[in-house]
Amino acid sequence: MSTESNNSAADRLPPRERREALAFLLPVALFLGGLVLVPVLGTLLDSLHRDVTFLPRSFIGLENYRALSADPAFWASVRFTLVFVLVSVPLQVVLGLLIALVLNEGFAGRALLRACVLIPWAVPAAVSGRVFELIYNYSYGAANWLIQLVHPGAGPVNWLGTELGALAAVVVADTYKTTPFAALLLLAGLSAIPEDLYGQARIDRATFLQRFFRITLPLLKPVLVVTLIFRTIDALRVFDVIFVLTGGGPGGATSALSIYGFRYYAAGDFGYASAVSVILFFISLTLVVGYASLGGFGREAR
Amino acid sequence: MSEERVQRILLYCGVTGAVLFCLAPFGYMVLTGLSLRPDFLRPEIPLTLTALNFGTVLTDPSLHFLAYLRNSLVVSAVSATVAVLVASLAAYALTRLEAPGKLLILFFILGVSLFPQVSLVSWLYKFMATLGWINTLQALVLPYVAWTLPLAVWILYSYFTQIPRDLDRAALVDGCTRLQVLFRVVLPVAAPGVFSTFLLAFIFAFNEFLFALMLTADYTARTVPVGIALFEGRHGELPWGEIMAAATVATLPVVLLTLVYQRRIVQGLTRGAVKG
Amino acid sequence: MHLTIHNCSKRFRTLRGTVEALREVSLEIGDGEFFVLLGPSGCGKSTLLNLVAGLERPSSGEIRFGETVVAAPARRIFVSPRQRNVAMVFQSYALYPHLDVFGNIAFPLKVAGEKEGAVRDAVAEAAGRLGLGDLLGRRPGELSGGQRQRVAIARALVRRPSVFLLDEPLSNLDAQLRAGTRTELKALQQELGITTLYVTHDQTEAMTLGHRIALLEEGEIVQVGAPQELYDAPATPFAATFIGSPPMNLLQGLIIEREVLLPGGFLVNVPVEKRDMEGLKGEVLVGIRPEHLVVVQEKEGAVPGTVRMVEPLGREFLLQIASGIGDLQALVEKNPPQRGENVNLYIDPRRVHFFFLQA
Repeated sequence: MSTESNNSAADRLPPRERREALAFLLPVALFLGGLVLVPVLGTLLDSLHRDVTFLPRSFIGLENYRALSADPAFWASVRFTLVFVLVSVPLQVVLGLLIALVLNEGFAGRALLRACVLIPWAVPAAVSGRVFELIYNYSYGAANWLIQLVHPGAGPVNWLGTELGALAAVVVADTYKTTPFAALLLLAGLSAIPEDLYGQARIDRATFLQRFFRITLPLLKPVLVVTLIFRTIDALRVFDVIFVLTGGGPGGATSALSIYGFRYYAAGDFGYASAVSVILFFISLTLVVGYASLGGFGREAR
Repeated sequence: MSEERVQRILLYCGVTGAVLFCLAPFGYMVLTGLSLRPDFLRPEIPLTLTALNFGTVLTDPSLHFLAYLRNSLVVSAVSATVAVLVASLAAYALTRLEAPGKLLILFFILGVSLFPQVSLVSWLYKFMATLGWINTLQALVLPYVAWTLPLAVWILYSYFTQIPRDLDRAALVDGCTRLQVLFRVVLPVAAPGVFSTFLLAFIFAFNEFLFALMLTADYTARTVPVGIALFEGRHGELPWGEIMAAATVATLPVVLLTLVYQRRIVQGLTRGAVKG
Repeated sequence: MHLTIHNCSKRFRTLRGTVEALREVSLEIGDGEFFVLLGPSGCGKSTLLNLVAGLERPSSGEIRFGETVVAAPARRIFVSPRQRNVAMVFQSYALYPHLDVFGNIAFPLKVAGEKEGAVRDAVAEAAGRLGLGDLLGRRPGELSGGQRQRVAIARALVRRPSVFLLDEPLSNLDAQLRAGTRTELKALQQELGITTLYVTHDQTEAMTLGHRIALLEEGEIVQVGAPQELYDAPATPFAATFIGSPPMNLLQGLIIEREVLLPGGFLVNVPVEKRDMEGLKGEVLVGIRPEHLVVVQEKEGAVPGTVRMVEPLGREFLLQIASGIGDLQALVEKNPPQRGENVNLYIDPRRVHFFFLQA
């Protein structure tokens, strides 16, 4: 028995310690494996099967995907989802940034405002969806009341009954719910920018706007990218608000992919619905990877 | 006008705007709940305040509202507790035990949250149906724990890394097992972070909708968000007053938690997200 | 408790490859001995302490507490820290911030499952011994550095450990407190008679505290011995310069017959007792402590030099001298020469140390 081989054996993580580490990680592995990974893989498998309630299950390869690509309602759903993301995420990030900028200033009642900002985030989306349903009520909702207040001649808008109205309604309701989260992330980013930099910039006579565009924005970029990623992932799979507010209507005009897929689950066509889920996942993945390379996160992680 | 002044004015506009934006829908909800008629904004309708809607929601047994609320509170509290426990074990292993490939594990845990919820529901349904657990509270607790774990692990990971390693070493020398180090030293020292994590997990579970929609059938397990989303009138016309009263009561627990512990929540949220 | 460290090595795997923190270290530490591990940062002294504590595992070798083997990787033996009955004081004190002083001191006992009453008595005793009786209700955050340090020591002693380990316990204290605590620590150890292993980079601490000192450099033991031995007969140039303050002067020399030739052509006799030293030939390093350089009047046989700087140290003066044999430091007790003054330095051959140059 040579000392060399002995030594290298001892240098490796001792088995007992490794077992200990694994034991500590076991519960997480069980939960995530059993309740996330297995269902996801199962869904992937399902998407390759004809899996409809009361019918025998059979492998059909990519048939579900072919059927999807032939369904105009699916393409409408993809289009709506992307439009929804493209409209709501920038809106939320810009609004969130404004709120964060306000919260980052020192003024009396700042803590109170921060608490107020948290409220929309804390209220369940299903509940705030219901509130917005009332707000958009054609005959006595707050939205139309506000329009008439500002512009007495204007007729009431049929928010939830028209395509454009429903899109606007859904975007506003989602923005209400999720802007606080964006604001808080950005606030954390803002407060990490050293105060000295602003002092120096003032001495250099940079104006308010110059300070914002030359210091704040560049230094905030990593956090901005993180916020965009988080918001995009979330917006892609938007469900609660739309389900409550429009149910995907009118006529499928606000049928985001989650809603579209869910309808088929509810109808018992598991294979087809699974194919929708898989596509939704890959769209998320693509966008996140795109953002990450945009923000240069791959480099930092290494 | 000086730049300072412009900035000051902008700031106050911003504050007003933010407050209006955040509170107006909330206020509208409360007001409608308190109003005798939901269409009080019409010029010809007077605003009459009443506790009638709240009374109905809280006492009418056919609405099952209190059952929903109880289900929500139980499910959220249990799943948040379990999530914090499981996550602290993992965060401890990842920060202290030199687990093999720990960065990979960490990113895997984060990557899990990429999966859309809708891609889980069919198999979760199959699981719970096989176990005969559809429409039970445990059918919600288990997926909620799994769903909040990534966030919980990340937040606790960031708190645990800040605890000096010497404390662990002292505890080991003082006779603790690894598990004792976690429960007697690391968790108490990280108590603020643990509490933040619990609050976030609680709120996430309380607000969850899709799983609850799929896995519950009636008041024995249905939670508040689903209950309110599916709240229909008995006579055709939507009873907006009652819905908004229910919504007000339903949001009360989370809103109170948020107002009281806003600092903790903000800390937890931003830790979990920006740290990475 | 007698402590044996036999041929212990410790390697760490890092991203850049394997780092050898300790190489084949062997030590015998007697029962009740106050043993100091001395060396610069990164020399492996803390790693050695961690091996004894059980916080790290040796890569090879064996550690014994008395007759009990506590670590022997070749035989797959490893006793965890909690089963070793060791106590440790950390440089950062590592007090539990969520517990008050009582809770901190009681912690090891409570973990061991001792009865409430016994815990209270033991804590009261340990706290009394360290003068912490009035502070039991305070949190670590409300204590001064010196008080925290005492709490850490009390926590270590409360359990009557078989081995007492201290890792740079004084280095976070200010100078005045450090000297006082040093004395107390020594008295405490003598009174309790617990085998003590003390890590420090401070040679004064090592000299004043230790029955014996092991000097480490880059993972290897350079020399083991009583403080005076290390001072009087340093084994290597490193030992010579690390122990003693200001450090020993080192000069290049060449042995010619019975004399050593120093730079500038000066010759010094090799003392009789060192003439038979094996291998004393050719190029050597010649060491002379600053306190052994004497400023003399007569030029005969002395080294001329110019005083560059005079630093008063209170009791004595440190002279920086540019001399015919190189730059030297010398200590004089009184009547220091002025800056710029020419002086003659006498080198006492009996006080000269010789070190062989490595091939």
